[in-house]
Amino acid sequence: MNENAEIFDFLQELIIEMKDYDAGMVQRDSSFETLALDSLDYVEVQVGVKKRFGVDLTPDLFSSGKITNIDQTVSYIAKESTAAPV
Amino acid sequence: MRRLSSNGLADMILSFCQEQISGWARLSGDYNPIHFDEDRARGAGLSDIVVHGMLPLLHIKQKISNSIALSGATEWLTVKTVFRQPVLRHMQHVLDIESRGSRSRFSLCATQDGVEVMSGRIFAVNQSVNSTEMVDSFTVDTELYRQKKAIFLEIYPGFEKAWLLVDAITFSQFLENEIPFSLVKNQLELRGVANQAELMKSALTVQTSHTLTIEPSFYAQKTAEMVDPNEIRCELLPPVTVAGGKDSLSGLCQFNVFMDDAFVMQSEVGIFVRFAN
Repeated sequence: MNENAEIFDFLQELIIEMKDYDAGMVQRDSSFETLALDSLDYVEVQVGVKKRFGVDLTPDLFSSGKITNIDQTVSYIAKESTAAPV
Repeated sequence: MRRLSSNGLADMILSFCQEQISGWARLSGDYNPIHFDEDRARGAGLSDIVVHGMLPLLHIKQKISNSIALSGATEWLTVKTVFRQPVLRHMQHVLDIESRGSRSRFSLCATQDGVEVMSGRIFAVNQSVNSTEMVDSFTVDTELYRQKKAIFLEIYPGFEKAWLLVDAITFSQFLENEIPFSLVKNQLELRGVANQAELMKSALTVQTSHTLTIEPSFYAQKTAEMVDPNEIRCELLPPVTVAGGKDSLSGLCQFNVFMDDAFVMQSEVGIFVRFAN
């Protein structure tokens, strides 16, 4: 499994558990708007990603529109990751 | 993952008066003014005094301890809670716990408007959590344990499971040792904040989440049947902080709890700090 797939699986599992969604609800092209994450959900994603991959997902990435969906998040984490996933 | 067995999951109504808030403050040492001073609460944009998040959560955990059993001897139980909105003094809330095989969910909603103030997940995990990265520690000796136990049993006489007591004690010492302050210390030095008490006064500091993972035999242990420990040791893991913008940040403090060297729980506390402009 490559790093991008590991990152996607991590985000998919985190959001499914967090929002009580069916697995099909969280796909690579799922936008954060359709996933209906609230501010605390974003914090949980931010903390989870920092803890697992050591990457800061700063709020301006979302507010500026640089990251709007899961696939963009996966790519950003893969690019910025300084430590191998554990 | 095995199924959790559950019973007695009828809805429960929770409401907290100032005396109950003071009781939790006495046990936990948390005297943040938003729990006592109406003006401070209103200054933080709230309509009334805020109940400590850990107080309703203690009652939820008590309900869980009586209604959810671990089916395996090797699986630890995780109770993961997000504090979504403040629980306000005197307001009625209804607790709903829904069991779905390997995991359960709970939700605490205000009866007045249906707003969800807390949500959580309960699930079994197959292995214990990593305990090798300690960066600091704090301890509870027998004397302090007995003092806290006496207060706990006085305030919450029917709460018989030991993990409820140890969770409350370790959380109180987590505050006493100013771990939330140490989490954001670097940012605070720039703002002239010298300690946790000043942090509580100068910035809105709230708990956003709490996750507890409990060793299976300890989950079933009753306080009355347990020998008082010589020492409870809490080993802090590296904290995680994320910027929330120019004037706020979020963080996660994690610690592993050992009772006389037996690893019994892991606790994770989420904190949000927003500085005044």
